[in-house]
Amino acid sequence: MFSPKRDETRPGYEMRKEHIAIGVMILLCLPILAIYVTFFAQAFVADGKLSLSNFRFLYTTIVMGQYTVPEMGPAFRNTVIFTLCVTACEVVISLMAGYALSRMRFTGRNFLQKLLLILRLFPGVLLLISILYVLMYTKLLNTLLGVVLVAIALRLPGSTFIIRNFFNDIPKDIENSALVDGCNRLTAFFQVIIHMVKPGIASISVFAFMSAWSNYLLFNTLILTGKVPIMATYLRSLSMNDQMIADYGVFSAMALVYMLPVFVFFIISQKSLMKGGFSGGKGI
Amino acid sequence: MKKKNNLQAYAFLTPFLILVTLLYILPAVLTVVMAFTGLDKTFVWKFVGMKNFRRVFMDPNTPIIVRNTLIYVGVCISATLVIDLFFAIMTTYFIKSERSASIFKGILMIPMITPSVVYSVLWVWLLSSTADGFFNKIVMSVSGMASPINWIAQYPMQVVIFAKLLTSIAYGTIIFSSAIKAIPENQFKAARVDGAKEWEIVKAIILPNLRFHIMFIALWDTLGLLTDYVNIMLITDGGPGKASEVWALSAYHKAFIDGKYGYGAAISLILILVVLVLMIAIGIVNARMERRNLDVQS
Repeated sequence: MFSPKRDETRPGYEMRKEHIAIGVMILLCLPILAIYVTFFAQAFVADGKLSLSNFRFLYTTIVMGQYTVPEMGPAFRNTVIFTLCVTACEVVISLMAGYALSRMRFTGRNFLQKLLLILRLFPGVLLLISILYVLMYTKLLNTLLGVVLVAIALRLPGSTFIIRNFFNDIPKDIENSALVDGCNRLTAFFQVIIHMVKPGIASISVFAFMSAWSNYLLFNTLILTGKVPIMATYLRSLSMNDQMIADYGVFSAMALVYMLPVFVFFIISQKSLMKGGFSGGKGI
Repeated sequence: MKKKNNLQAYAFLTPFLILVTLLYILPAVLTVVMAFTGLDKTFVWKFVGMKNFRRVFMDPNTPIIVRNTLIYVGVCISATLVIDLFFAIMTTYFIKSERSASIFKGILMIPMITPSVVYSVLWVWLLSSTADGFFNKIVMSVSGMASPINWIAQYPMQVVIFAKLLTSIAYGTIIFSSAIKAIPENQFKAARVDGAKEWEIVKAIILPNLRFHIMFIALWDTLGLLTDYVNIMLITDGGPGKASEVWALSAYHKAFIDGKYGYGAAISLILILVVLVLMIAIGIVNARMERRNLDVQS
């Protein structure tokens, strides 16, 4: 009765139920997979034949009917720059803030803790109208820098909250012994503490990367001139063109290139994503 | 450790404070002020008192938008909760094998991680109005229907609800699934010894153990559904006409398409008030979960 090994020989009726459940789940998951596979399979079909010619946008200009497809290069470059900047800054800034909030005593600490809780829940999307005004006032409207700053700011409370909780879980003694051993705050932070929150850093970088890479809304609202295209706005404008989507071949090839990093990151980091918290339904 | 060191702490906090103050808190204050102005594309601040709010309530479209929002949030939230619970119970309680469970959860997460622009095109392609459309082909061959249906134009609300539903099931499923894992195994064993049926186990053990998680997801998803309009914007853009326009999207349309920033801010402000109520409720649920040592988020 007290042997934990008992579970290994599970009764037959339970295994039967598990098999039925697996069958049901396969039936329910299949349509999702079928839709995605059928959509992206179009990338490899041109003129009814299996081919890679839909990917020719990677090295040459494509003309479809009277429509010359604009180059993807600038959009792709901007997306990479945007994602790297946002991810790096978000991680560093939230690490610093999360550490201070978790470990240091200072005036206004309680107030900032409460503020963090409120901002984490508050949907920043609703503030885009006045953010537009702030950017205009600071002459950052229609610039990549402006959108980078907004993207970081809107996601900071969420990631700071996550990382602060990771810091809270580290025993104080570890840090104290580092301080006793002659580290100051800064060296203790970089040599000892930061290694203890690696899972936290991994999880916020994944969230930051995924949401920055697929961000559409901020560029749609804060770049009014079309001067700073990113993959999301680029693909969006292509999808509005009838000639482009008369045949989805080229479009799905482009979408595949766009989604490849997301898929790769997803497979690497499925575990930390499963802990939840991805963009938290805030749409940014 | 009791000693306060303000200089050091604020050195760590400065970048956070600057960004959040300038691009989060300041805009929040500005939204409140803007809602009482007639700010438009000329960006002249002219206070108009309650005029924006009166216009919101007089607008003949407002009842339609409110109804759409209620249907969108109501249907999505109830369907999400039921589906999440179903998937969580299937992948955690019935399927004990971690590997197959995580494959299923992984598949359920695909719509969530798909960038919204690609996701919307996927739906436009899927529901294409031509006879070649993926969905039309299936429906026409099954039902023997003669002519294709323009799904997005004819059933805009159903389409955006279903599209949103697919993206939101993964989060709740994962939360519920880890909550079910945390239920002590002997509760199930005792029930089985007493001869309880599976349905009774779900009703008497799983659901009561998950009640705070269910409350949390219900509130959290409602918050997301009320404020996140990107999917609707990309699939139907609120159309045809106002058939799938929801509250948050209408603020966007008024501000960014019509250039009526003051009016848009007023619409946003009304939604923010609703959101604040939800935030307080989430805070209460979170506090009660903390007291019971339940953990929702990392």
